[in-house]
This record gives sequence, C-alpha cells and structure tokens, in this order.
Amino acid sequence: MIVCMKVGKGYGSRYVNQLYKQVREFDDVLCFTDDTEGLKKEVKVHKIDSWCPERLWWNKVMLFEPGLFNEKVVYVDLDSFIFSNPTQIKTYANEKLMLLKTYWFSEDTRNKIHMCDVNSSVMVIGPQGSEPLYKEWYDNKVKLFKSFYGLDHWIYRRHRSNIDYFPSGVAYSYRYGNQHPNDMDEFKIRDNIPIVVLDDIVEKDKALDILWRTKK
Amino acid sequence: MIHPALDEIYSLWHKGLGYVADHHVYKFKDYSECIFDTQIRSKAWLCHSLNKVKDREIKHIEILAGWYGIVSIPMLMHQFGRDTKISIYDVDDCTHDICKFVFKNYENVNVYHKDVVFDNLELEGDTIINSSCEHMYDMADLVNANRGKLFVLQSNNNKNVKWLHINCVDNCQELIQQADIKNVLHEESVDIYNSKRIMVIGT
Repeated sequence: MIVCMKVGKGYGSRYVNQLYKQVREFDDVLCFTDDTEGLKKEVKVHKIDSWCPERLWWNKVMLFEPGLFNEKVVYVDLDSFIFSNPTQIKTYANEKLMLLKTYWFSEDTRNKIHMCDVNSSVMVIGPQGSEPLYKEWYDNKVKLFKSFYGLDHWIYRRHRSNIDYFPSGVAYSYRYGNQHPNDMDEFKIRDNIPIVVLDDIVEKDKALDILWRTKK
Repeated sequence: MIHPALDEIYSLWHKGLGYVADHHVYKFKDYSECIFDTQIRSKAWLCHSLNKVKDREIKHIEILAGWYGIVSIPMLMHQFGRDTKISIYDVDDCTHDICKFVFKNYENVNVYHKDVVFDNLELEGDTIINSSCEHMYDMADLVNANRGKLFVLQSNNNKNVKWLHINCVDNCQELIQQADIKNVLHEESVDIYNSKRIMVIGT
C-alpha cells in the first residue's frame, strides 16, 4: 500500500490522482484526507480531521499510531514524484519507523547548520507504527506544535534512537541533488532512483507538472 | 547603541571568535549575529527595565535559552554587580560549548546544556530571564513550577522568521496569558527594526 495525506487547502485532489498514476501498476493508494472531493474512485480513502489549523504537515504524526496499518506501508508526501516501484524500499525497513536522511547535504551542514538530518517526505511504517513518537505526540500535542516548526526537527531532537534511516539511493532532492559531495547536480532527473522529493522549490507546481507529464 | 558594557561585550566576542573558527566554523554566521544592534538594544532595555521594577535584591539570575550570553551577561553584571551569580542554559551543544569557552574565567557564570522546555530544570535563582519566548513553547509550565520567582520574559510579533519564530505574540496581554504571569510588575513593547518587541516582568 502507498499512503499519502491530503489535509486542508495546501495540495488538492489532483496531487493524489497524479500519485495514483505513478504507482497504480505497483500497489494501491490509500489517502488520509479531510476532503474526498475530486479523488479518483480507485484511490482508497481514510477520513481524518486535521488537529492543527496551520503547519498541516504535523497531521502526519497520526500515521504513527500502533496498529493503524496491518502491513508495512510506504508513505510519500504529495510533492514527491515516483519513477519506479516504490514498494521495493520496504525491504530496508525493520521494526522502527524508517525515514529519509538528507544525504544531499554534508554531515556538518545537516547536523550543525540545519540541526536536523531527518526528512519525513518518504517513510516506511509498519503495523507496530511508532509507539514512542505517537505516545509523546498524543500526550503533548500543543507543546510539540509550539516547540518545533515541523515534525522532522522534533524527531531529530527527541527520537533519533527510535527511528532508522533509509540508505542513500532511495530518494533524492530535486533541489539539492542525491548525495554530498559526489552527486549534487540540482534539478536533474535521476530515474534510476525510485523517488524524488521536491522540498524547498519555489515553483514547485511547475516542476511537478514537468515530472507528471512523463507519466500518462 | 552605546552602553557601558560594550567594551566587555566586544572583548568577549573577540575572545570567542578564534574558538569558533577553530572548532565550530559552521556557527560563524550565528555567532556573528549575537552582537547585532537588535541584541544590544533588546538586552539593554531588559536590564534597564528590570532594575527599575525589581521587587527583590537580585543575587542569582537564570537565563533560559540564553544563546551565547555575550550581550546579556556583561550587561546584567554591570547592572546588578559583578558578583551576581548567573546560570545560562541552551539546547544547542555547539552554542553551549562556545559559551562555556567564552566565560571559562568567570567564576560566577555557570553554563548548562539543557532543553528549557523538555528537560527538568532545577532553577535555584531568584530571577529567571527568557528573552526568546517566540522560539518555544509557552513559559506557563516553568512559571508555575517556579511560582514566586521573578520572571523577565521577552517575545516578539515577527512571524516571518521561518522555522524559528513559532510562538510569537502580538501584545503584552498575550505574553502574560501565555506565561500565566499573575502579578505583573512591568509590561511594555517597543519597535526594534520593524518588529514589535514585547516584554513582561512579573511573578
């Protein structure tokens, strides 16, 4: 199962439908959403209510609930693009929540300037979810929301021992490249890598349109 | 802005510069910003206001999320005496290391690597300063755990600093509520470089 989340007005149904086109030959798509309007009928839906009025990415934490899924699932952000079978990345996953590391930055940049090397644009979540993360969020929602801009910084600061990272080569950054220092060309198509994430891009829709046109 | 403590501030900053270059070069930009005029003006305003309204003799000051302390500590010592005990806390390990180096010869200054929101802090001081409330969760929990101590809190309304300013307020009343200050001794806001800086002093 490929899981995505569409909450609020940030990303419309066409992003989910485009994701469906990218993965339909490999797996089903399950969309966690507060608004099903416009979604293709083939997209499975799980209805949710947003718990935060802004910084909607925090809703992703709902996916860490233990027992939510009965199998390992691959989660992708809606501003990602999938070149090839994403389900293969499940083979890397163990008992812990699996996320991207920002390999496209140097280690010093990740840890000392950004103070975060976690990127939750792509995850593998198992049936056990991630109890330590879910529990802390469940008991401290407002405190976490007011302490960290995004969940990536929260996970990095407080839960590095409760997660694992994919190896390099699972996903790359369209903006910053694949891996520092040897493969850093920006805005380059690397279709030998299953997933590309479009963080930090000013004209994101334009970039996505170009990528979407490669998949009819 | 001119302040009597400026000589010491610049001397400390210069002292840390070589250490940053040798050990924490990625902190250089951050370190250079700690003596910007906005910082000098904010901290001078804090010290001056605290001195006007304090309801007790100030012997031990705790500075939460104090960054490098290079502006605040000399100004506080100038205002309240060089033997004032000062404890400073910061969550970033590089910042903590630099601060420790800069103040290593100051016997009255203790530097701690702590997360002000999530770590248990045993605050022994009579006065607790947080001039970075916009960067973190509400101070109410800490205020209630240390009810009776004198709190000096600053925040601002500049929501445009992405990633960092995540808990801004628009006015003093909001900060008072956010921190659950029951007895307000002083509330004031000033415009500093296009944003409103807000301060509340109370218990």
